[in-house]
Amino acid sequence: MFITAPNRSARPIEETDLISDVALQLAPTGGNNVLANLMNLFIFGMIFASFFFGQQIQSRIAILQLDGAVRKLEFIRNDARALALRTIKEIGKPKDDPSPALSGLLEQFFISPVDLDPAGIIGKLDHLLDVRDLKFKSDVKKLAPEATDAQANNLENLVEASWALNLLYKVVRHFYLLGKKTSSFYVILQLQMLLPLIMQEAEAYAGAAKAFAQGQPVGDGAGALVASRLMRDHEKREVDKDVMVAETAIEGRRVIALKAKGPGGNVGKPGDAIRTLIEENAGKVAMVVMVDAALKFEGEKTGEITEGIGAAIGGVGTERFKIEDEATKYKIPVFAIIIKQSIQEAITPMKKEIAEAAEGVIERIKTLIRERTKEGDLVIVAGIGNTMGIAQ
Amino acid sequence: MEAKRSGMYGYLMVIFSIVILAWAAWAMYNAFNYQQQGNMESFYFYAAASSVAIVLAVSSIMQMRRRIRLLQSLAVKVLSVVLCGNCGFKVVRGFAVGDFVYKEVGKCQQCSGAMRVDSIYSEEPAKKSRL
Repeated sequence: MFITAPNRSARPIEETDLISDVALQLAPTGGNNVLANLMNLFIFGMIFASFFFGQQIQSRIAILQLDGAVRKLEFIRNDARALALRTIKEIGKPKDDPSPALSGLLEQFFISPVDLDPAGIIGKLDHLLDVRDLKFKSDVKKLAPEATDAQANNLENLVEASWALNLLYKVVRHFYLLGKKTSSFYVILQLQMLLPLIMQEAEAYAGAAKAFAQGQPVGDGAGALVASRLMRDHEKREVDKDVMVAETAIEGRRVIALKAKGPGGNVGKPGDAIRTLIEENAGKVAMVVMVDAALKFEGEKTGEITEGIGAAIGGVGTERFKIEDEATKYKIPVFAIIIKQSIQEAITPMKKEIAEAAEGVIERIKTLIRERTKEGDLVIVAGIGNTMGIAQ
Repeated sequence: MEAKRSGMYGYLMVIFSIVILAWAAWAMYNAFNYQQQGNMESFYFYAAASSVAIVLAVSSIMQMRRRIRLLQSLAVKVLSVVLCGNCGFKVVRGFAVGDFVYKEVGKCQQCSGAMRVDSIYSEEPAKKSRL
């Protein structure tokens, strides 16, 4: 930083020193001080550089930061892919090398139906999602022929987490390279601004991949856990695709609890199941209570239970549409109970606070049933979410 | 392999920070000495260099702290709570691959009833309370 070392400037004053002092007129103290002149020159240079090249300097710094982030994302992506490959080999015992087929799966894409004419789009979307789901399941089953149904479901979730990481990496790399190629300050800046959120999401997916590989319940399974508590020790049946139901009684009311078929990673199609149950009972359902994990705001407590109105279910909206449609048809009130958590907590191993909230939710359901229905009524309680590691 | 590399990096960062901090303290001491001697040029040099070194060392230490926090958050323990349906005897143990909620895992030591996994959850290492 400093050109001259201390105590080495004690030399006779030369003509050049005087010229630079006079020319620059920058040193307010000690006009013939070489060090002061150099410092002033340096400061002047910095001001000049930041004035004229500020944006370029900022772009360079951002590109350096993005370069590190892209490398980290690549590492996380490769790590998740290696974990998926290892788990497929361990569980599925394939005869051939599953690596090329896995790479093909990670590059799969989904084209949403055209929405220029939105009439009937829910049916189209539902159909496409079914096709995708079936294809994904059969591809994973082919990769891991010796895996049980539950293990195949877990593997499917693991491959999906790797797929999401692969996509995230490719999108970030695309904008990083585009910004670098075009030297566009604004492309780089936008990516840099979003970087903390992107990295948080990537780390959450990396955590999810580990949980899926081991079949551990995740935070999103909070609703399924509540339903499983209600279904425990009662006779179960599969009502629709991958959805199990069991009938129980709470305070003299008939309660049908439902959840996705566990313990493999599965979300099922609760919309279809609720529709079937309502039709089976000719619409004579007093109330539908939906329990699901929901995103909390920063600062809110994990595991906090809140009540609301409406169909508590995530996804693209097809399942919610079916529930709303059926409830409107028979004028059935739909109540929602949510367990709050962050996006990271929703896809990583279930936290103790979330697991403990299940008992609190059951108490809320009982209160709701007591206050809103009368003895002999039928109530449907739907536990929504990924049921990985949770049987019924 | 990655964990080893990460640990090595951590040690290097700590050593680097300590060396820089020690040099900064020495430079600051020199700066004050020069100031007392009236050698202002050397005082400015050492004071500026010491300030830069302190900022560098503190930033390295802060980065290390963030890294340690991240490692702590990754070191989450997943536990399985096994419960006897008969007498309520409870065992909390580490999660084993293949565990799932309501899985039967053997007989109760006290009443020979069926022991089942009642819940599976993750627990973060206990945080030190701040005074």
